[in-house]
Amino acid sequence: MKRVRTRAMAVALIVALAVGLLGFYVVRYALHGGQWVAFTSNGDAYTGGKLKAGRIVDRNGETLYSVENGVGSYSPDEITRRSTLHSLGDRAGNIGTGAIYKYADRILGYDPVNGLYSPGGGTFHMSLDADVCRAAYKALGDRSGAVTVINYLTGEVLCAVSTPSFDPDDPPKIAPDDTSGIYMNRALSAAYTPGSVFKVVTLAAALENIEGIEDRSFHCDGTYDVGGGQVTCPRAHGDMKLEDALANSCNCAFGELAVELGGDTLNGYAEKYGLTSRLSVDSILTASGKFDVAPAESLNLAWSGVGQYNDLVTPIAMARLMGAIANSGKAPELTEVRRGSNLGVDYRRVMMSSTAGKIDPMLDYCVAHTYGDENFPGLELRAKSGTAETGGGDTNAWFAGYLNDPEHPYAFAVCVEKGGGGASTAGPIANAVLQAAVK
Amino acid sequence: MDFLNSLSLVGASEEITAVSRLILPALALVIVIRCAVSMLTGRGESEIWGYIALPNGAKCELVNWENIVGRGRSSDVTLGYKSVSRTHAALTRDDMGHWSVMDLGSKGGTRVRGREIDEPTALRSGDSVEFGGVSCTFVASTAKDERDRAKLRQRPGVRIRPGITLMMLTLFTLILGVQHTAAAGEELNVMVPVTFLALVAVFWGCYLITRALDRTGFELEILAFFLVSVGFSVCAGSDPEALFKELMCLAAGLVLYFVIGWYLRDLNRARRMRTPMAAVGLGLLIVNLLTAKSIFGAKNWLSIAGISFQPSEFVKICFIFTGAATLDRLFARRNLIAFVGFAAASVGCLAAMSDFGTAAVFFVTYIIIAFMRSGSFATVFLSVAGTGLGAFIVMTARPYVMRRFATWGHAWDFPQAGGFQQTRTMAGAASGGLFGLGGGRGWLHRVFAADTDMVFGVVCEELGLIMGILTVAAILIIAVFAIRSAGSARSSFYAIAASAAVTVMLTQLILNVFGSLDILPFTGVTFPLVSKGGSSLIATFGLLAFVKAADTRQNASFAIRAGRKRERRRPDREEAERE
Repeated sequence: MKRVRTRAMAVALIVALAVGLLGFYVVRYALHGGQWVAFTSNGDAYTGGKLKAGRIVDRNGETLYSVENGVGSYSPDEITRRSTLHSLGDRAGNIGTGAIYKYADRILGYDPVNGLYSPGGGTFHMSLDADVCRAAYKALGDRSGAVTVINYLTGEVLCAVSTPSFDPDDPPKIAPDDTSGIYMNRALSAAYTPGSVFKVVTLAAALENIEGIEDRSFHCDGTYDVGGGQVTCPRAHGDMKLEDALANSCNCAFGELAVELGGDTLNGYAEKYGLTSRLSVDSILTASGKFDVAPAESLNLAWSGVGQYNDLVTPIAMARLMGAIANSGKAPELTEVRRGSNLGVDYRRVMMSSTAGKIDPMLDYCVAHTYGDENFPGLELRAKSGTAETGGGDTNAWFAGYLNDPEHPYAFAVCVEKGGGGASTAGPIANAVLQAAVK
Repeated sequence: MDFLNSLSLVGASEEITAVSRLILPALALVIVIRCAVSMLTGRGESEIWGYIALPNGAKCELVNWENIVGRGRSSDVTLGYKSVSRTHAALTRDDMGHWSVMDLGSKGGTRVRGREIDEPTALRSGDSVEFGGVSCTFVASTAKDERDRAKLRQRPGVRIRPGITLMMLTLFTLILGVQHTAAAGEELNVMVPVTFLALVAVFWGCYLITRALDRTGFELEILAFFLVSVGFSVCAGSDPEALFKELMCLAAGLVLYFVIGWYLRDLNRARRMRTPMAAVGLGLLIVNLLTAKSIFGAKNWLSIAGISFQPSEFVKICFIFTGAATLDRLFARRNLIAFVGFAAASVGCLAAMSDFGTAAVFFVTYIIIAFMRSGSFATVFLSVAGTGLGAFIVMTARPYVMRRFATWGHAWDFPQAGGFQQTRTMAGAASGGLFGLGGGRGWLHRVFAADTDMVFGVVCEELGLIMGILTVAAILIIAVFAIRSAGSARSSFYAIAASAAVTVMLTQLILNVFGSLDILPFTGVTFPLVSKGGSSLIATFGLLAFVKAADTRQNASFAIRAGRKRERRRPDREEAERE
């Protein structure tokens, strides 16, 4: 019988297997329960594909979307509806990056302890600030483009407004072959030619790689001959130091720096700064940017160094880079969920602290010298503009930067399609948005 | 109904659920823990049926009816002499208290009362037995010894009273009933409250029968009843029309439980069932294979006089009767080969019916039985390899089986095709959180076959993950209990049968739960006692009887004959011996 007793332990192996599998399931449940719940065929969460219950509020508690008895309604204010449309999503589900679809578990009030047992659903606090969104939407007016504002200490996205937009309570008929990209959240999902805002990348690379760069004198005749072609400036800037080259946004000086640094180095920086890869905002992946120059093409490399040629950048990635400069080189993990504080925020060091410390006064100088402090009253603004040529005489008007203000740690990027001059078009939009943000 | 309405249960559904969803898991936790502690801890004094006095004066107690004498450490009576073979002889006792000794092909031979033996020879207390020249004395326990021993042994149900645990289970079941009644609202089927009341009556009925038989072990039944209550909760939500049939099947299952348990009391009687049971089992499968209609993909349903049932469920019982064996048979290879043939035929029939889940259950059980009988890893290894090859051939021949494997682990990539059930199970299970949405208040039960194949999801959704884990734990506790019992079972027949019975339940549990959660391939076998389905419910109670028959704790099990009140003698045999 002793033998039979020993052999019965074989059954214990099956018991151990069951215990192991159960443990495996519990871990999976803890990790993925929210995603499982958000499955649109889950009858506990949806009726006829629509969320059963819940509410989305902005960071100040303003209701942006609420579901009662399976019927969802947006804000009663039309500007709010239009400005937050791309962040929330439309009823038909055409805007896949909308919170209604991406954060269904939170809206339903899911938590691993109580599951979906929460009569009336949950309240999902987004990081958005509806005031800032409204200001951005109004400032953009009927132009296409995007405005994004992030808190560079917490990584919260305060504003990600995209135009053209529409009223989700009165959706327009959109042809299936429509190319306006009305369903796209341009702040996250559109990659634009960055133009001169990209000079910040070339600048940072030069500061870290070229000895004595801060003392070097640059000379600009209005043209820079390279690789059988020319890089041109709108006018001859004459002799200048590095900070003036930036403030003047001198293409010749930065084209020269780009060639000196080489394509591989610049590409490495664009990558390190998160401009070329897809960034994640919680579960949303942004579009990827682009920086590609064949090694031998020095003319294209020079243009790439000033944000032209094949360069592409998303507004959110640019805002994140500006935030990193403000935050001594550390970029926070981005989120659309409200965070109480910056406790437990995950940072990634993308830039040496000393480099960020050198760039900050230069961007300050840009504002004082070129854009005019009086145009941004009361703001500790650091910014760089960009007027990116996109062919056919059209330009993207960029304005990106941050507030060097611990009370208002905001970084931003504004991009207006066919917008004309960066500082003249995007600058005032940035001012309007930032004034709403610091209010 | 008027009574229930007067309590205005219907209007208070929310409030009732808010309270019950917290009380139910707490009660279930206490019930399961009480059973586990009672079944798996305790002093565990063994029965003593006699002893062998060794030449050096030491006594070796015989704690089973079947004992191996040999030099090996794994022998029950270890004789460390070179002249003793590693496995020398077997000492066995029968139901009547008669002992015999059998030489197991030893080199040194065995002598009883000075005579060399070559066939099983009766032993009387005080006889001298020589194993390879080592002279020992055999002493059988007298009825008085057994009574004295019985007084010393710990009875179950003293430290942890099953009556109190059953009261908790009663409360648990009644709360479930109230909650379902409230949740159903205007659409209430009157069978819902009636069924939960009937369950309580059935539970106490069984308890009283056990008490009337002077047995105090009732934890196994309580764990089973806990699972039954959870199963009825699922059924009350998914298909209240079926409650009556389920209730009738529960009654039938309990009758089967007591009948098989009583039958197993007598080892001789039980072992004689081997051949008839093998015939019945194979017969059922063949009739099934030839005549059955195909329901839901698998051709495993049989309809007799308007009642549909799944013969394969009952074949499990035949399978265990056939596979279990007493010690004397373990040494005859021929017997094992016969069982291998029977097992292969059973698994083959099931595969031919496309019931691969059940085929897998039989196969795993076969491996456990084969290993317990032979102790040979080679046998197990060959079986697995052979079956693996067979399975491969079957799968390449039947593309739909392959498809099922193709979606395994990727359910979320095919939520409307091969991952249909799994994704819904996971979504529903997660919706319930730890405490559930409340019985009958989920959605998953509306999905086809949710109350059988995806039942773990429904339990987690409506009663919470804690309850889901406790249902799994209940089966695991029964399994560990069977493993522990295997050591002290009177005969290896009971040890093997109990181990095989829990293997069936464990394998079903694992395939059901983890198949529906996309951790294993989805096969569609039932969760024992929880899944809806009459055949499975009845057969599982049949399986539990085998576990009960291995429980040798003092006065624990009705399936174990209690100690002799006085000496029993068979006069004819005495006379024969005197001659």
